[in-house]
Amino acid sequence: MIWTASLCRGIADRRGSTLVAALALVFLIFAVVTVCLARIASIYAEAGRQRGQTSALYLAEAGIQKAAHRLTQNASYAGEKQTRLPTGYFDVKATRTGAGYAIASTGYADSPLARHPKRTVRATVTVTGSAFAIADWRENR
Amino acid sequence: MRRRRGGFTLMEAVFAMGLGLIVLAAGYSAYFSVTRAEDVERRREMLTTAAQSAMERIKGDIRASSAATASGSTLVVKTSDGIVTYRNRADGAGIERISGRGRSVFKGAIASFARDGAGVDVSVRVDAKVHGRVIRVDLDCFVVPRNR
Repeated sequence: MIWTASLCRGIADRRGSTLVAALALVFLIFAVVTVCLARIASIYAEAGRQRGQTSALYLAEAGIQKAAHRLTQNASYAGEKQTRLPTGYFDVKATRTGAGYAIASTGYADSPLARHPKRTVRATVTVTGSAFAIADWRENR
Repeated sequence: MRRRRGGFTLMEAVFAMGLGLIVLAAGYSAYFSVTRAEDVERRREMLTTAAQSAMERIKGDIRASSAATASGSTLVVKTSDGIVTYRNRADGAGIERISGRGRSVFKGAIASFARDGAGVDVSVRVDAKVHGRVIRVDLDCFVVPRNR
């Protein structure tokens, strides 16, 4: 009688350990799934940021070109804000520096992200009549 | 009287298999999503490179030109090498660059050009369908002729 009771308790104990093992396996697999999903999210976020940065760089460059062109028409041009292009907008600031102008242009790409990806380009522009030359090109993130 | 032996009852086995299937399905689905996301992003990267390559060439030609005429999907620039024309192919297969030296195509890209003062607004778009989803890359720039 005592032997039978001990056997039953043994089986019951083993069943308990099987349940624990099964739950541990389920937990492990869900952990792997969670890591995979986090990786997907990070892949999308990083790729989105990179694309936005590329687009923002072109917008900033558009700002430099537009500012240089405006300076050929109006020597007192100081810049402009939120000039739109189809994929975003740019802000430009132009300041006179000796023989030329220092232009800082920041492009902001349209994006579903909370913070718009932006890139800033700084360049020195010299204007000769209706033509201009761009030098000292520096890109910042 | 039959004695119960160690092992699982039918209910336990069915429950365990059901749970196992659910967990396996979740694991497979996560794995499938990761590989699909990687595919989409790899393709998007290729599209970005294609769009940049077309944009850089167009920008280079406009900057080096003495004059540019833009209207919708056609851009004509006058360079020291002669006239260079960009236009979207009628079959939508890409942007064609036609010069005295020959013809090249930026596959999969579509461009639009608009005159803006002395410069040209250039938009390049590349899209593709990946796993039933259309992905698209757009780039915009403004370029003035005769500047380097």
